[in-house]
Amino acid sequence: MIKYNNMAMVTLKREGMKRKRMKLILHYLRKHIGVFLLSTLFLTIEAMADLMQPTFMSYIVDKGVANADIRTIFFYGGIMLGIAGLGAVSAIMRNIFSSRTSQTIGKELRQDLYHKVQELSLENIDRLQPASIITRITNDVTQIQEFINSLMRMMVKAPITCIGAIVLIILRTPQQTPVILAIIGVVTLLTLGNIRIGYPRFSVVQKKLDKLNGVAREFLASVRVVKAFNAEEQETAKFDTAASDLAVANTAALRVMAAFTPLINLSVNLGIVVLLWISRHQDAAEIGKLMASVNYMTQVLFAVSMIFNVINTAVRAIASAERIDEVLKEQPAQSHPLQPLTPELTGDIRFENVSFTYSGAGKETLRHINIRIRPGETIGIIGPTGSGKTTLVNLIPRFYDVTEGRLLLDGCDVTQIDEKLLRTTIAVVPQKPLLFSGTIRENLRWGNEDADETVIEHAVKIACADSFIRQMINGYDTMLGQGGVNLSGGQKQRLSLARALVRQPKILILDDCTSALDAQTETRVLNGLRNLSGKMTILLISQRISTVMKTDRILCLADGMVQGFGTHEELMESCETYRAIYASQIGGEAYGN
Amino acid sequence: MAIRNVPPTNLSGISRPSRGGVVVKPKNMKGTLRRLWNLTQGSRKGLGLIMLLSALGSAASILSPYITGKAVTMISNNDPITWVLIYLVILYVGDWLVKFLQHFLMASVGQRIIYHIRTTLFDHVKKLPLAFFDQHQHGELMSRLTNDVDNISVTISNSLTMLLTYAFTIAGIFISMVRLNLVLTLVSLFGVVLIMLLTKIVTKHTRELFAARQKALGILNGQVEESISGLLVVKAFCREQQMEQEFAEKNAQLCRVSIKALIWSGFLMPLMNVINNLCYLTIAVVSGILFVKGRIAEVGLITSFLLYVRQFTRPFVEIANTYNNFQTAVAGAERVFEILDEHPEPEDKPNAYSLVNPRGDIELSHVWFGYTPEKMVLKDISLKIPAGTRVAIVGPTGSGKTTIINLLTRFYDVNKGSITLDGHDLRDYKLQDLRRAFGVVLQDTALFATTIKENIAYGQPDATMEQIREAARIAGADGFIERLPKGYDTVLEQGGMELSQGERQLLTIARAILANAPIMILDEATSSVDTMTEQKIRRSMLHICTNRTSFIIAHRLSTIRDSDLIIVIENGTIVEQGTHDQLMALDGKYALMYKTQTGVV
Repeated sequence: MIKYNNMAMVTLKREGMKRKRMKLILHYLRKHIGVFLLSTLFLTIEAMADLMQPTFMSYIVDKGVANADIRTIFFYGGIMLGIAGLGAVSAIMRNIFSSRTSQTIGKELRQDLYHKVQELSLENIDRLQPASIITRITNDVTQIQEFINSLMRMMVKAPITCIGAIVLIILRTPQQTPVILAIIGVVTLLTLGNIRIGYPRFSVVQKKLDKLNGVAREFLASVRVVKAFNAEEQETAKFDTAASDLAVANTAALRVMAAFTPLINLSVNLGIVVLLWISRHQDAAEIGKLMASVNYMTQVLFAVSMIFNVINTAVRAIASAERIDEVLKEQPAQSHPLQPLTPELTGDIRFENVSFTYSGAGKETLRHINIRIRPGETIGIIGPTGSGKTTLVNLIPRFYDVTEGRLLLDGCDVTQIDEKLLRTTIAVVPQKPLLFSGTIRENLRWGNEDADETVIEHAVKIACADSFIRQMINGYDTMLGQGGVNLSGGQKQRLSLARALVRQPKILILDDCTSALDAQTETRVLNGLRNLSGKMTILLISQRISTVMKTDRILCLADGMVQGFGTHEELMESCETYRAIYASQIGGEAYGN
Repeated sequence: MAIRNVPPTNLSGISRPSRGGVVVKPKNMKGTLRRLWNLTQGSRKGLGLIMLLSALGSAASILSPYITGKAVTMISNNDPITWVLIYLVILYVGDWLVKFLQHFLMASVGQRIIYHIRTTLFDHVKKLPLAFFDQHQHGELMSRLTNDVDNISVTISNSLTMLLTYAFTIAGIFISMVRLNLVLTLVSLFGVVLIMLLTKIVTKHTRELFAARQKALGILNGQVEESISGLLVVKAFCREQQMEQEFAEKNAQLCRVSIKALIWSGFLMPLMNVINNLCYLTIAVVSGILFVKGRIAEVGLITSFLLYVRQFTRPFVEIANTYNNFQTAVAGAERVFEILDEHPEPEDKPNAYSLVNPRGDIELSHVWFGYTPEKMVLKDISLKIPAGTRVAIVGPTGSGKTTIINLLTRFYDVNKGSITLDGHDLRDYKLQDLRRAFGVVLQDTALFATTIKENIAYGQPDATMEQIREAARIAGADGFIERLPKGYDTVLEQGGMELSQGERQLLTIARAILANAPIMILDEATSSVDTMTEQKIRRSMLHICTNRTSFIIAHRLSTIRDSDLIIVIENGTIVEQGTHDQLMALDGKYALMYKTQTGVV
């Protein structure tokens, strides 16, 4: 009859209603206000029909059956059926409207969120965190959808039913009113008691469940270590303890429910007995009314539980609305140039006293970088982790903007250059080769939609990806799964490189993208690239000193500052950090061996 | 987690069938149920009692309409109804007691069964070979250990008790109705049949629609994840517009399918209501006619019947719902049993050798191995390694270096050929002893969410604080540990992610040092750490390898150069082996690699 979802109730207790946050939801509802009102109309009809039915049922019994008057039975029965039919039609119509509205609002929300995300810059995304953004587009929107659906299903109905039912009871059977109200009161009290005693226990259950999940996750992640160190018994003991703790907590929580839930039913049933007792001196004519009263009481209790559920959903929806609002209100961290410049970009890059701090970070990631890179140069960039290599190159295509100083391309401030021009002239091969679902050819065309076959083939050749593509059954039309899962790490890296080369950029940025390749393939790739340089500026970040040694000039970074910038020989002589890296990887030098 | 409310035994009630969800059908219902029953050992008595109580729980539904009807008749005859009402009260109080006891017992019995299933599952899982963990996604395994087990017990126990109660209720009500009046019973049956037909048609349709919705949702979520995780690339290649368009298409599709599913599932309730009312009306009419014709003596009988009819249809609907959940839970149980059926790591041979103070003479002879039978990763590998040799293994990615390590520690067994240690095949030793003979430091630095000292002493419960400190000192980890506010008692809440990669590596080395195994295996990742830490790591790694047989998957030229034996592996075969000088003289692949790395070429 009445289902009180306990876990849902605990959310209600924890958070309250916050009217301000409703604004977002109201905004979207307003767009569909017509349908919303129409749905409310049908809902009202539905509620009225529900209220009328028990009354006519009671007439059938009291006026028809009791007097064995078949004509009366048919008369009232016909009305009852008609009302039921009307109620059914209204309910179906209302359902059509509420489903349409809730799902459409969900669609609109998702689209708006997605659009906004595409507009934001990487700095915004970093702050909001990709995983969290994904959750907002999926889970949070669903919460709001659910809420709107519930709202449209019950909003008007519950109050109408509640008030209507109570009014009808008072009007038709005034002597039963006190009993009915008493039962409703008792049930409400029992429910609240259930929540009060149950809530802390359910919280404990949640915690123990999280602990169990944590133990399981840790085990699975470290299974090799567990086996290598023969620690299976230890892990079993850990798991057993967590599992038994959970069982104990669950039992305690369920026992509370065991006590309360049947008690609610008992109260209602005893109430019925009392009602029968009260009517003992009356004619049988009142039995129909008795049944109707009980029916109304059930409707009231049901409506009350529905109100609780809607409030629940509302609380969660509001929390979700808050998170969605955060994204929608986010100000893009980067500004667009008011009068974009379109210079001829040749690959001339100059850092003028550039410093950079990630927003929210305490320390500067880059400090006072002053370097000039000439067109057509191949620059190797090396330095320990955290020295700022990736950050440095990310400034060039304006993934981030400098916090101090200027970054100039061919003499123009990069923030003033037309963004489209900027991005088409620069190609990036990131550390993690990100490929997308689609064919190999489609992925390669990301570099340039209009590239013709020869350009693509040439790019693939330089990236040394032609051999493995040719070996595949469908060749360029091979479908890649999410993220390109069917390929090995090295193959993905080569495709990622080919994609960038298809763009035929003026500036090519390679962020440690040959790490999964063996030494021979890497050499071939770098040789191929070297043939291109002269036509484009190449910035090559690598962990391997053997890679950067072969570039025109090497930029050695540490702690966000330039430690040295010059040829291999110059750095071996003048740069301590460079020498140390060389010693550590190749060794044989006196330093630190 | 909540126990579903068993419908009350009062005069009317509304029951809501499920709005439809995804139902998974089990492959072998009978077999799985039997196995589940076996798992309930130890709780049989409790379960039996619960079943009995469930059966008793139907009593109120069966008897109350009858007694109420009697009361109605007596009221109309102006008879005193005191005693009848007292019977009713006793019935209801008894019903409450039964339900209370049932749920109370169910709580502890059910949880005990869950605990048993869960621990049995884990006990088995921990014995499974490494291959199993490599082939299955962690998320999936987690789901089985936690969600599936929960689902099994809760749903099945609830479903069982509910099924029992309803079965008795339906039987009891049917009998009571027939006893009261045959004609009216037939009329009621007609209504039930109609309702069941309606439910079947609608739920079949909605099930398909909801499955389609899940699919559309999965596709949309996939697109969102891909494009947002890869946002950098999207921006770099100016693909924002295309991404938005793709998203819009998938978004619209999801919307379409969802609306359809919701609309269809919304037909059920209203139509059922109409049928219910129709039934009600028909009974009223027919009973009226019968009353007139004198076939029914008491008015109360009609009341009873109307009450029975209300009670009769509900269980059918609830059973239909419950059956869906039941099926999904049994399918979950099947997934759990699949794991229990996996073969654990092979037991020790009956007369397995103990391994005490091994020398470390290792020989591989004509070893063939592949993770799958079609693709051999190691082909005809033969190696002789006298005790105390420092071996460096070099070769391109995927050439088989890590595989050799997996075979030495018997995480996998060779397909052909053999590996011997101190003259005996690895498979002839006790597995635990063998594992203890190897100390392993790998690329992935798996640490546990406990204190630093417990991490270093992992697997060595008897280690003293002194020994722990000494191990940390040799590893070069003592410096950063002592700089932490709580030192060795610092809890690594995020499993070590609070520390830098270099610091984590030093801890795993300290752990290996403390284990003090006679044979060391190291994977020297090209560390992306600061030079000082890198030197520390190198020094401590070299330290562990002195006076022991050791295998290093090497990346640093200095490490390789100083090894006693260098093995060059390519495509699963050993192409060259020897000392640095020997290989350089050979002027083969090793020489080429070395010259490339040092910039000569």
